Amino acid sequence: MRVAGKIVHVVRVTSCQFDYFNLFYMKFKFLLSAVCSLSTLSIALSAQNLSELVTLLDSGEMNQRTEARNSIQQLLTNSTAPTADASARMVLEQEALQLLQSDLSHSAQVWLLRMLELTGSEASIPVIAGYLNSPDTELRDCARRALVANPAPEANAVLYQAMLRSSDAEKRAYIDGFAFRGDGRAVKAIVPLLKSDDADTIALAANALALLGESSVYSELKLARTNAPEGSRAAIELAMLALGADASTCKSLISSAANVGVAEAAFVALIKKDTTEAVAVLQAVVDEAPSPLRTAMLGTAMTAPALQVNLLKNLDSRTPEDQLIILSGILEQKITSAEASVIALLSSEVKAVRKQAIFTLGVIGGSASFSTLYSLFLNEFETDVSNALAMLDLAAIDNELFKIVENSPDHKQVSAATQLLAMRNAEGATDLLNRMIAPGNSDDLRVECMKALEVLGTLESCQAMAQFIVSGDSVKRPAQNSLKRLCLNYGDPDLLWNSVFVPALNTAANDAIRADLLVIADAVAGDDFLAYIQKKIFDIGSPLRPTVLKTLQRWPHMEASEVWLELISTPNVSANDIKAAQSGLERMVKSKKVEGWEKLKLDQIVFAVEKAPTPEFKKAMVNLYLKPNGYIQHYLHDAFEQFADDPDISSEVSAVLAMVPESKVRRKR
Amino acid sequence: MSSKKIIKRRSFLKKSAAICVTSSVAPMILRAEILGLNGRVGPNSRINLAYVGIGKQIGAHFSIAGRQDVQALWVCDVKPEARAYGLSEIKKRGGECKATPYYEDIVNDPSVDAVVVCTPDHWHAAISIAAMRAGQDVYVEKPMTLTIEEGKAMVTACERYGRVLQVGSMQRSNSAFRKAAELVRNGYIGKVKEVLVGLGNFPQPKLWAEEPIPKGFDYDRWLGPAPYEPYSSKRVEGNYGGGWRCYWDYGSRKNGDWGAHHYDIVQWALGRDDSGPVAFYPKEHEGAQYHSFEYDDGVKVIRDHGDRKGHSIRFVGSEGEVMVSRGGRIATTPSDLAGRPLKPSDVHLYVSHKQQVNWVECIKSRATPICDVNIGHRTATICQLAGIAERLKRPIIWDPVAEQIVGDEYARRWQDRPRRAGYELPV
Repeated sequence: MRVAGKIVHVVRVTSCQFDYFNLFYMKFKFLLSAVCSLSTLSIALSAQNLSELVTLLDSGEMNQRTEARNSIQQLLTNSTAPTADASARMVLEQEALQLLQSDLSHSAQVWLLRMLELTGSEASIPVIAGYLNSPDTELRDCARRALVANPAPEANAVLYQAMLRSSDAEKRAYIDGFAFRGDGRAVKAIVPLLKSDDADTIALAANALALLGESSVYSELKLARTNAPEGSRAAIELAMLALGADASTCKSLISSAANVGVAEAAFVALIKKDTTEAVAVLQAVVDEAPSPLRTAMLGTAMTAPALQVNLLKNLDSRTPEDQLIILSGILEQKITSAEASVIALLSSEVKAVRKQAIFTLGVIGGSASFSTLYSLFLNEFETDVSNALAMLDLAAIDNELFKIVENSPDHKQVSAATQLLAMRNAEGATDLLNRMIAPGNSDDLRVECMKALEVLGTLESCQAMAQFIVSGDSVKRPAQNSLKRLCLNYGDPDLLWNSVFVPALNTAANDAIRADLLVIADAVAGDDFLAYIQKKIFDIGSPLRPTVLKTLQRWPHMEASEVWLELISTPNVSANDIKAAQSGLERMVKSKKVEGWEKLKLDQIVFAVEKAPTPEFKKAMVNLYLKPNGYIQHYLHDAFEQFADDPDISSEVSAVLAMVPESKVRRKR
Repeated sequence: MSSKKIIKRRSFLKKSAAICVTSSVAPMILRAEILGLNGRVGPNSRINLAYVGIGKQIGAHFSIAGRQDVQALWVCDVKPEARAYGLSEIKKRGGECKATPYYEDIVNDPSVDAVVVCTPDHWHAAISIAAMRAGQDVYVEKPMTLTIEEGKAMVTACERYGRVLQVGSMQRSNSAFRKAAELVRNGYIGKVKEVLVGLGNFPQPKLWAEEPIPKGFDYDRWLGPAPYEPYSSKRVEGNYGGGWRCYWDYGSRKNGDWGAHHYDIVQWALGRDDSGPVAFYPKEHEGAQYHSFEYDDGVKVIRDHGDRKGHSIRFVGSEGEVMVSRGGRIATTPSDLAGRPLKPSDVHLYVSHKQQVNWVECIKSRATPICDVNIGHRTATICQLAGIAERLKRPIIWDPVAEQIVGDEYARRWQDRPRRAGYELPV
């Protein structure tokens, strides 16, 4: 069994030395276990069940067969639990083995062998071994797999003998089995196969030897390579690399390997064996023309400190392709000493190189990176640069930014600094920004600070901005934008509605000012605000009614549909209200911005059809599904078939249902 | 099992290998034409790509075939109609490529730089390892492997051959999942107590009456290393509600389906990418209502617990919660956590906006992709161990350092599965 690339043995400890070619001992142990089993037959109730279940494996009913398979598997695997009675497990296994030796159907034999793959003990080996001679290919293969999975060392000898008499194709399966078992004792059996005439057999033998990790076979591999038939050389070379090829061999394989994979593997191995030689190879490689192997080797070199230094030299004069590889290495290995070289790449004309250099500085950079990036940011306000500045982990940066915000007369500097303080989520930034938005400071500064608060703001920030809106402050418009964004980032709509919007509405001088606040209130789309809207909508004379109708049309959740349905059900509903409801419901279905399960949205549309105030409204609702997506198609028949005979919309319903492919005609609601 | 088919495949392999070897004999000194083996073009040129497994999941991968820096050379599938579909999709994107039922054609083609492995899970390891040992980079769909030991072999191969391997647990490339993981990882919800994860369920795997194998479909090869079973269309179909995904022989059911996404995010958020849980408990064990697993610090991950507040994953911490789902949906308690930027001293997780694009960029820069072989292996290990506990109906104790099941020698056998003759695993 392989563990993190190494081979460990998953075998039970036996007190007796096993001889590969001595099956006598094994037969003796089998007889012994059989005698034990006979002595415990009194607890063989489960075996009775097993026999009955096995007969069901040939049932004419496929469901019964499935159940029989599942039950047999459960019965046998339950018996292998560490807490289970070991003797009961043995009894059950014996029953399974006896059944296998009786006159069973093919499918029953297959299933029992597959179950013994999971549960068979040493005692099962002789019976399963008998199947290795079966004329039936499937049974033979099931038996091989059952033995391969059996950790008892005795299985090795049986597999080895079977391999000797097998065809080339099956031989390869046995070799794979030895590798699977991870039993180093199989090496002796595999080595002779390196001399096979068959390239596939040699390749698999080499694979298995590599997996088994026996370096003692290195010379045999080396010899095999000199005579390797076509198609086996790569596997042999890879096995040589896995089993201790020296630096000289690694070096020669880099240039003479059977394929790029082997050449790269040889370079990986060479770095571990001899860094001096690896550096020499790398120096030669750097001067080569571009190739996938060269690219891979440069990438690998950046993971080895002894080789990195060669690539970091003259970084700015290398090709952009090489620069990208080296920059990735600097980033992943966090090579802070390369800061100056990376800064030099900021002048690269290749966009990708410049972008990668900026990002790399954000991760590995120090004060030199800050001053360089900050100057860039002041000039161009690039997103990549601000992101890098936001990541730079230097305490001094925040102090400097605070000073700029509080003292600098340069608006550009202050704007940049407030943005960065927000992006860096700097300690104390929120308090500072809350102070800076107060009237008395310059409007430009207040607007910048409100923008910064969109991500950092608190309830106090929201309340201040709401007051700017209802008090007609000179920053009213920007305050509307910032408050809306801040509310969306802040979440908790009911809290914001009750603590920010309601108090501000109460202090507003008139309804026109209230409307200025309500127009952005879809950012606090919660139950409490929805209840307020509902109240205003059904208060026909309210001057705020048109505003809240518009806000409801932008509602981000499908809950708004309840209000629309209620509105269209009102007696003598106006044409304008019908239009508003239609628009709101259409947006609910079509806009991805409106949250809600599509199926539930469809249910609401069905209600809307049922309650439709006009035939046109009905048609508009059905037509929403004229281009249905693959998911909702499953539900359309159940939703709209009931309206097929409605003279108002029968043709619309037919058109929608015609869009549904046969395979999606019906799904239970 | 058909030995005829195996012989056919073998003789075919020899032919392909012969082409490969003949063209790669070279002197023992470093020269440009040696490093640019067999006339392959350099990194300035396009990445020559091959697709193996043209099923339901392939759509997302074809998009990279339309990139200027990528050229599709092959599509491969055992079903003729899938090959035809693959060819037509490449053509739509302005490409021309060849089709084959044999992945060995691709592995032995020295002009192929990279391979997308999009087959059912039981084929992932063999094809990926074969490609890597031929010097090809790999994108393999999630879960990375069918068995734990295959995963270890993949890790070894990737390191040995210096390849760039990306696993398709693509929620890592979604900003909401990344944000959720960063909030958890940096302690914004305090100490994590439990994680509730929704995977859903597949129908139980069933035996179906045998049907004739469709003309041209190489069913034996579709089964590959898995045990032989009579053909039925419902066994091999690739739909998301069942098909092969229901069968333990070819996948890990919901553990490998949604689990390979959500458990991957749990690992990321908990900072366990190089480790894993220590115990797996099946439903009904000591009256448990749900399948679950546990980390060494007591964090419990509970599958399909209903109280996820409408989300796919809910992290419950001592000072708050993070809920996250596809579609960019994230919610937190306190509510303002999601909108807050990280501090420079916080752990900033790997940023990728699209898994496939990240892979292509990493092929060029040789950077480690967002979901590399080690991460893919550790996540797949969880999927598989959860499946083992579920099937054995008993707890499984796992040593994430030694990577072995502990104290249950029969359960340990389930860490790997012997392969059918003719479908051996390369190393």
